[in-house]
Amino acid sequence: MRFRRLFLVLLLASPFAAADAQTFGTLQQDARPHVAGLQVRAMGGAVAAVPMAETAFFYNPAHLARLDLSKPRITFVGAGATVSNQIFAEYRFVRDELEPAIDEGLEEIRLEDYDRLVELYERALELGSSQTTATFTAYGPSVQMRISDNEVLGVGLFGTNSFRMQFTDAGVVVPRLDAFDQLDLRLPVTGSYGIPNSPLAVGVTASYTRRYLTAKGALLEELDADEEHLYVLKGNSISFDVGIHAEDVMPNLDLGAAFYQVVGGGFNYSYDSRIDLTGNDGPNDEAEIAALEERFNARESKPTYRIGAAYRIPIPPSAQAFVDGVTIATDYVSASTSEYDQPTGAHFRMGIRADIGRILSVQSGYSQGYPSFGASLNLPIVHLEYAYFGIEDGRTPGQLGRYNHHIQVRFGLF
Amino acid sequence: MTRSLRFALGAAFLLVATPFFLAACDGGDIASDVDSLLIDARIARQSGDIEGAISLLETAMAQAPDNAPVRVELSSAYFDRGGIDLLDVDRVALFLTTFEENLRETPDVPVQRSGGTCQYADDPNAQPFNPDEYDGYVDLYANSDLINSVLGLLNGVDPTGIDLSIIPEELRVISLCQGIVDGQLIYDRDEALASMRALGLSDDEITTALAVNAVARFFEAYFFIAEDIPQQTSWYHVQGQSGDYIGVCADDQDALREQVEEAIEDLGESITSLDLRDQVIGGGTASQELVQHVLDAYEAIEDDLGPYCEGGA
Repeated sequence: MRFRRLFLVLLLASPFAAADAQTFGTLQQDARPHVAGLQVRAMGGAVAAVPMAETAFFYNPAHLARLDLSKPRITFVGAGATVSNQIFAEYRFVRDELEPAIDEGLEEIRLEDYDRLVELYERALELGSSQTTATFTAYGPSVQMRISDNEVLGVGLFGTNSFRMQFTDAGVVVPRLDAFDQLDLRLPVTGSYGIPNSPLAVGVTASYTRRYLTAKGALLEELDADEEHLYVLKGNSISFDVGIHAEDVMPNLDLGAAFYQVVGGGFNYSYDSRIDLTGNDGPNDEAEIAALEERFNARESKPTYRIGAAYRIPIPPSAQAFVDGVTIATDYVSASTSEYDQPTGAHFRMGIRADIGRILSVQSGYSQGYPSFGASLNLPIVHLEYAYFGIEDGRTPGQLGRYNHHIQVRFGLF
Repeated sequence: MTRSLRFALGAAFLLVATPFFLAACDGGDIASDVDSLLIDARIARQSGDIEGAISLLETAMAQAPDNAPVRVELSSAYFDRGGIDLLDVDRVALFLTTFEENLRETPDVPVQRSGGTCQYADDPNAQPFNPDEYDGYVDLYANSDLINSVLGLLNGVDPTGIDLSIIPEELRVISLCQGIVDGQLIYDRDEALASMRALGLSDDEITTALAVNAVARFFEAYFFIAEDIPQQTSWYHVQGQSGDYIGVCADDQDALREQVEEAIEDLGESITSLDLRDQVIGGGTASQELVQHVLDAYEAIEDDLGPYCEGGA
């Protein structure tokens, strides 16, 4: 069996890219469709009150009214990738150990080389102590433009594909594979309005999302070397997010809040197609399809929110030639980053951002006990960005931390 | 320092300090309710902290001794700590049932002859062996107390006598005369599964409970045979026309059958547990093979150790 295909198919199921780890982990509820912002990651996720072009579609629609859009801001195309630290080790394990073992037959190995089988199981569980995730993002055309002094409109096309894999112990050292992949194609339309003679701006985003997802959960010993399929479910959703931003409520102090999926957002999944991992065709496993539909239709899609404050540190005149602005921010985010309900402190985010000479932006943050940092090179027609961040897959900070790299490039008229 | 600068510093400090403070508080967050303890224990196991997981689960057990998911998780964590796994069952079952062509010719122990003779003693197709010759036996046997603890978790009663058994009656009382017919297990699988689901166990938890119980029952039977039979016995791997089997000689063969009755029942429960587990996880080749290996182990010894069954079941 080409078991590596499972890994690769899930990883590269589309030219688009995957979920954001923050929502991706929330398996108990339907993940909110959005594109994770790289600068948001680098800032630890504290952006509710920090307007940026990349936060206007997916983090706070009211930000759109705060952008400097003397001319339309257009993105032609772009791509990004987020991978967890150990994805390469896990890929090598699948390629060099697991796939050959499954091809040979675990039963044969059990009879002839018991120690190898034990080593295989233990290695799977060792790697499985942390999730392996990968997200690929494709930026299609998008535009943000001012249509009057107070009204701003944005529309874009985005694709994300998220992959997650881990091995857990199903009892008495029997590894269980838990793999998941989700592809979202999303068309958001954002409108924002700066309320005259007030510090307030409001916004709303209406989004259409088409989602494809698949999952494979099985004991390692049960993976069929001759006939294994991935069954793909499909669902559609229309949702509405709203946001508000208040500028200078006190000197240099801004506030922001966004409420996601206040209307809509639910998916009704049904079987769409299958991916044959072994090339041996064979009938569909109707029981597995039914179980997948039941599992994912049972997920709830409930509204979440984000509120935050940001303080723009006054820059001394002597430094203004080098530094355009420094902002520190704090958010409270209601959504959990894992399958578990998390305590209050795990929902806070903190970040700082410095804009240097209009073409360079550096960010750092602290979220759930994990630091983050990143940098963006903002040239007129290309943006090149990198971020490194941690995320909690457990319940409380420090239990199941996972660090990730995020890199992306976008081309447009910025 | 100007007033605006003081405000700026104050605001900056507040924004920076709040998440640090709250995250630090969460870092020391100690779960107290049973559900949170169970979740934290699973996370601890996932991250490799077995001792931490056991500590959390024992705390949860103290709070809710009748909580089935906690008992299952704790039993599994105990085995995790003891390094006992399902593959050990498979390996021991193969050891007990496999005739090794190149095995040494002389047994480690003197051959005992039932009533002065042992039918296998001079049989060229019979190969003497000791049940405790299995590689790694000493390490396994060191966990015998652990196995008793696990069985207590899965089959215990509370101090007032209320049955807290997680393993259903259908698996525990299988009749080896009527429950295994032509190599097939006869018991009510649906009823057994329904009983376990009624305890609030998910299918994943049921799978774990059954695997743990199968391992515990198998080794309880194995250790009894290897250590506790009150009379001298001699064991042989025998190559028969219809396959390998185990031959046993004892001074009193009938007494031997009575002495090992409980061990044979344990073996039966191990088989039914593995069989039901196979059904829950979807009946793949590997799990069916495992059921078959343990069934082979039972069938290999039933002629000399199994109960007398009227009608020759």
